[in-house]
Amino acid sequence: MEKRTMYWAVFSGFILELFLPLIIANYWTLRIFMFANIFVIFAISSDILLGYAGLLSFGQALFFGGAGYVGALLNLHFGLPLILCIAIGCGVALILGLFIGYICLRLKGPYLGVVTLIFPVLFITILHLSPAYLGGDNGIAGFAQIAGGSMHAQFYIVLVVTLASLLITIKIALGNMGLILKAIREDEMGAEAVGINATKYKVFAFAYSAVFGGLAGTLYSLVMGSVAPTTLSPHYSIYPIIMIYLGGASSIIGATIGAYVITYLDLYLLAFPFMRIIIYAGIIIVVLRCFPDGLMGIFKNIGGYQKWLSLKSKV
Amino acid sequence: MAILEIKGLRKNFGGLTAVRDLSFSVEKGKVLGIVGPNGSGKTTIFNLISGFLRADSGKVILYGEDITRLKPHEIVRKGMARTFQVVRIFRHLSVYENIKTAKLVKDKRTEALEKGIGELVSLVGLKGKENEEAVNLPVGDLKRLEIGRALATEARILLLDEPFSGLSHHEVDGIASLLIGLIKDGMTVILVEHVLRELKRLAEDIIVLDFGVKIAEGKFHDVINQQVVKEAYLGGATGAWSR
Repeated sequence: MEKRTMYWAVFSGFILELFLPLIIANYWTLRIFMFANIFVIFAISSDILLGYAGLLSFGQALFFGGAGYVGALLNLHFGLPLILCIAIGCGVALILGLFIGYICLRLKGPYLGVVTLIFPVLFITILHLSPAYLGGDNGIAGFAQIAGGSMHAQFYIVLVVTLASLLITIKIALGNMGLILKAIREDEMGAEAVGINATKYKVFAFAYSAVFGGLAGTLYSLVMGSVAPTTLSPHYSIYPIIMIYLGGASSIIGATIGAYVITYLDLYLLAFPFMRIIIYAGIIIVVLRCFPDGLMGIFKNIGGYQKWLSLKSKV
Repeated sequence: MAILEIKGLRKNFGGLTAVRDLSFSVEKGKVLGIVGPNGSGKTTIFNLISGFLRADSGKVILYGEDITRLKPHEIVRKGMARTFQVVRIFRHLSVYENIKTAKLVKDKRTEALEKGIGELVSLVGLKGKENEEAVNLPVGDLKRLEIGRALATEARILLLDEPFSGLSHHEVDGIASLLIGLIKDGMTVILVEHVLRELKRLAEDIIVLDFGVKIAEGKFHDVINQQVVKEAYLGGATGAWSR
């Protein structure tokens, strides 16, 4: 997708959502849109890691849940302002991302996936072992919420942060950085042979996904007003992967669409917790088998089909 | 004046010595051919020189600087680039993007970058195919693209690993013409090749390897007729293996 089309799609979506609170009176529907936007931040930053750099990480929940916990704890125990809580949460996620990125440098594919899976599981165990300070199985609550819990204000704050995240990520994805990451994904040895320091760029991809994953995580906990160990569970590592593959890997708009679809589906499937994982597994299998380029690939094919039709009609 | 010197290079893989105390040098603007039977260590030498493998002992000196311990991307920035026996192209990137990726390492200014890419695409004979995904190109074009990508790094020494393998006669002629043009412009080339007809056209000097040992070195015609070289290729009691 061209840069101009991408920006056009993003700004159209933004303008549409600006008027959403005026059109939709239902509190819950608006709230779903807000959470979908938070997951957009999570999915697009993970797309830089998975779609562009080709690094499969099952540890994204560590950045999401970890930063969420840091932001919540800082406000609850030290009374820090929320903006500072978010910044420090992202900073902690950055340090974790650099650490994991560095120690997993030599790993690829499923090996990388398995090793990264360990980190959030390790942190969940720590949470369970120290209930007094970290809230144990029940998590923590009672810290300040963004905009004092005002639904409309929260909606607009999240919307603006999502727009900023999208613009930054598109800038990176469609720029030289995105091209270099794709080259590393295609052939790391070939990339080194043309002078690319693959190590540096792979660590960058981890760090980027960590910072914005952390941003999504802190927004999530500070909007919810509570945070629980479930935010560090493998579910939250798998969500961005499903969102990316459903929408189309290495396509920021695809990841955005995937995030909206899965957030909605997830809420409708809340009543059927065991069915959820089966349905998600089914989605991944069908998408990877039949539509490897995801929903964006289908849209492109429709475009190609229309072009073919117009050619036929001219003949 | 030698711009690349290899001094006593040695590489072991477990109990197998792939390269044994190898020394040679290449002068500016010259073409050196490396030949030898399969498994004689030709590609291992390229991997050692370009930093993809670490030598157990010996030195690689480029423009008077020891680059033995440098990483591949650092060596490229010093002015030496390589191609691979099995092309390592970014398959789902276009021809333009493949060249741009390599060009970005040295030049990030948009105007110069665009101009440079256009010139390189024409030079390697891929004009009109800029937007084609590399995965859709025939093997001859892939070889051209890989050479173009190496040139995009602004390298002054090219290490070409079997640039003619798997090509039709027509494609071989095309690549050979491209290389002759580059050599005329002063490019220094080290060429690993089995196609002796083309090697004869391109390389003045060759070295012959057998089981990681240099068994002959000198002018193409002098070396290729030596008994030890024939035995290394065709087998015999006096080959390097038996010594």
